[in-house]
Amino acid sequence: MPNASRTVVRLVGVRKVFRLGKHEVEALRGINLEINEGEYISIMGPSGSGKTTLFNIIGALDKPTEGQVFIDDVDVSQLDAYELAWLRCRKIGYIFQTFNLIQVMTAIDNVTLPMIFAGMSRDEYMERGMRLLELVGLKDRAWHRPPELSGGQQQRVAIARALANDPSIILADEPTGNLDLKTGEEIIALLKRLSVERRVTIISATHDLKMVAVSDRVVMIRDGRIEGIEDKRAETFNAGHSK
Amino acid sequence: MKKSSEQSIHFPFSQTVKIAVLSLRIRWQRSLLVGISLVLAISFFAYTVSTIMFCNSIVVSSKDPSFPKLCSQGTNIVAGASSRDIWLIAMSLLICLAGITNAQLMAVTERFREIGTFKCLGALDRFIVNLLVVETCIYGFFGGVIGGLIGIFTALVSFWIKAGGTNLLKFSLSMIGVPIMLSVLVSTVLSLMGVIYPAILAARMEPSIALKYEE
Repeated sequence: MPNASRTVVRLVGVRKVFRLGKHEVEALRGINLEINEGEYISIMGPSGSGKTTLFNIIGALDKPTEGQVFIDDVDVSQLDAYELAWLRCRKIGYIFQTFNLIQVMTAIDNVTLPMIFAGMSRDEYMERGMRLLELVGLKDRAWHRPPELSGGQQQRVAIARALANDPSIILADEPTGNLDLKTGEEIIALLKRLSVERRVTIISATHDLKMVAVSDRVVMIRDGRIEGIEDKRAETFNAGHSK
Repeated sequence: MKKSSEQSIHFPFSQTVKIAVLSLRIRWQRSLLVGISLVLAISFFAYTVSTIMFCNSIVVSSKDPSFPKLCSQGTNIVAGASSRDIWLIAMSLLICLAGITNAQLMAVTERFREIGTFKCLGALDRFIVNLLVVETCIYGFFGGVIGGLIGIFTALVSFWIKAGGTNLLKFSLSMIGVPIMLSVLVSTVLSLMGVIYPAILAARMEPSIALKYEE
């Protein structure tokens, strides 16, 4: 059950205000959330609800105006540039809707880049990179650059890259948003497999109902506030007992 | 945490050079655009420097028969560089610097998303600056060599037309080597001056902001 798991992400009273000229826009209005190890969380909400802002703050890509973000019990706001880089490199893997692969580098170069930042030797990172590409079914495309790969293949490379340094959290911002239905389903299945087999915490901002269907919990966000949290495991558990 | 993390995040310089070369090769159209403005300015600089050096060599031996010929053709022959030459060189370099800074700002802005991605993967600000500086040094060097050669060649042709081919044989190798070296130096320094502001701007950007940019 989730309560027995360790908390990997904890948000306490997180507010984010953007200044647009003379106006202030409050994107997040006091978010409190705990995410446990190995959970598959979907963050849902309409456009402009604050999903991406929340994604960026959990991923240490942006700082909250107020409140605290703890990743593995470390307050992210207290970290300096080196520590933030280390956190992004080792603890978190990112997957984006637009894949965000480095266009001038091959698939294997993209996958091994975080490992080079982490200080692995060439033999080590090449071997691990190939294993990760094999895991996502792209070993034979290792030496191709992103423009030579389909959208689904690029997203698989991005997933392999996100796994490079065995992160405890994978953050996925609309990972199926630019993919066709079938490829999207494959990506969802792959992420679910990683969550179950590797105990990786998957946090995904999404509109995709298929993604929601495989989630352990769904966080509904509207106007910068958490509107509700749906525990899918409890539903499955109750449904199983009521039969 | 601080000390261990400082030791953990690093990026070999050879990898930075590899990415810089890849980036220049694959984005060759953009590199060409920046390169052309650099080559044009440097070739003008090399032409002016070479012409001054050629003229000075004749002034030193003012018994040279081509001296009155050049003077009658209106060539401004004085010992050292005239204030007009210095002004021309300064203006050409200034225009070149403005052109490079503008081209670099555009090139770096186009790559904000890529820079944001690098930062998501664990890159420090220093890596971003290093990458852009290495790229700049590469085309600064090649821009200097190519621009220098064009400038010297143009100066030689111009001198040959005005003073005759026999004078060219009197020139020493240093009269070609010095403008080339000066061109490479000026080209690299100008390119670095042009890139430093966009590089720092890009490196300091929050990843969430950088990732918002469309490529």
